[in-house]
Amino acid sequence: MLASPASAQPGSSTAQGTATASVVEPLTVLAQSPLDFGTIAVAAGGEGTVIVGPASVAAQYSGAARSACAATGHCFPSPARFLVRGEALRSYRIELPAFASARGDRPGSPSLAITDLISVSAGSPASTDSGALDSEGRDQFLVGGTLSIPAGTPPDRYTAEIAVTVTYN
Amino acid sequence: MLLALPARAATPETTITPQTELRFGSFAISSSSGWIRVSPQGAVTQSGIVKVSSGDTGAARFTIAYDRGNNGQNRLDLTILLVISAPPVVQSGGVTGRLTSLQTDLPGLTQLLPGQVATVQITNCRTRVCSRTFHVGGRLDVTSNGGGAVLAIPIPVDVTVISVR
Repeated sequence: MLASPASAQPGSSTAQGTATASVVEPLTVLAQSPLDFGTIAVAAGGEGTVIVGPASVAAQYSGAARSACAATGHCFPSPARFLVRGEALRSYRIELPAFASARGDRPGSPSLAITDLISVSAGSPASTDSGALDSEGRDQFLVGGTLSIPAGTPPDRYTAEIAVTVTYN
Repeated sequence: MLLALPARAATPETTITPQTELRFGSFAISSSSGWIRVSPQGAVTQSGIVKVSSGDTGAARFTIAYDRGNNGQNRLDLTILLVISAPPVVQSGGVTGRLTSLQTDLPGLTQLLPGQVATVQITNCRTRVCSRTFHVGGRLDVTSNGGGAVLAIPIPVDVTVISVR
């Protein structure tokens, strides 16, 4: 007797696929203080520059420029300070403008050009254009630059709001 | 005298197996909402989304298999019904994700509407296991109140063999 082949029976099956996504916390930046070149003056008929580095303690004066801040005054130069928040342990890119403008505190003070803007972040101190968020999703970076002071610029305290852009790497 | 017992064939078995996930990768939302689409071919489009990594997207891949239960090589032509149920909306960590506009690369089909019965043909099968693999893409709409989250959205799939010839 030959075995008859089993007749095919229809069947059904159920399964569950999965769609996945990882939504990271948005990256935000908060300006905490402006780029401050302090109170400066230039010798009569002379021009000069002031460099405030993002990590250096003291500003560098060249040409006819000099600090006009009294030792007891609150007018010393300092880099701009920014606070960044986002997804913990991610790195991000810092974009700075090619140029910026500083304004004096006194009405009618001229607008002065700032170039060579540069940043340094606490989370990535070896880089000048990126930062790294810590385990709490925070980082801070400083921005410095070079202020050009034409001859005849009145003494004043000159500061600048620097527009920055941060994006995840 | 020895009697030869007739060999009993195993019962045919139908399975559908998810082999890869529908992956939208890692991204941040530009404002409070955005969307990202992955096609069945793996192409990515997006709006209001900033990708933070690359190479981490892809369509889901499923395989429908019919095991005839024996090693016969008779030709089989199968008609199979496929139904995808509506994926649920998921929420996690202030993020809401909704998966819609499912698409496939099955011949004769583009969209897979939830609850829609799609017909899949496997023809001229001469092996024990007859199978067809297909891909599923879709669109993920996300909203966030500022936080981040890992989303996993189930895609329920049912298949039924209705004809074996």
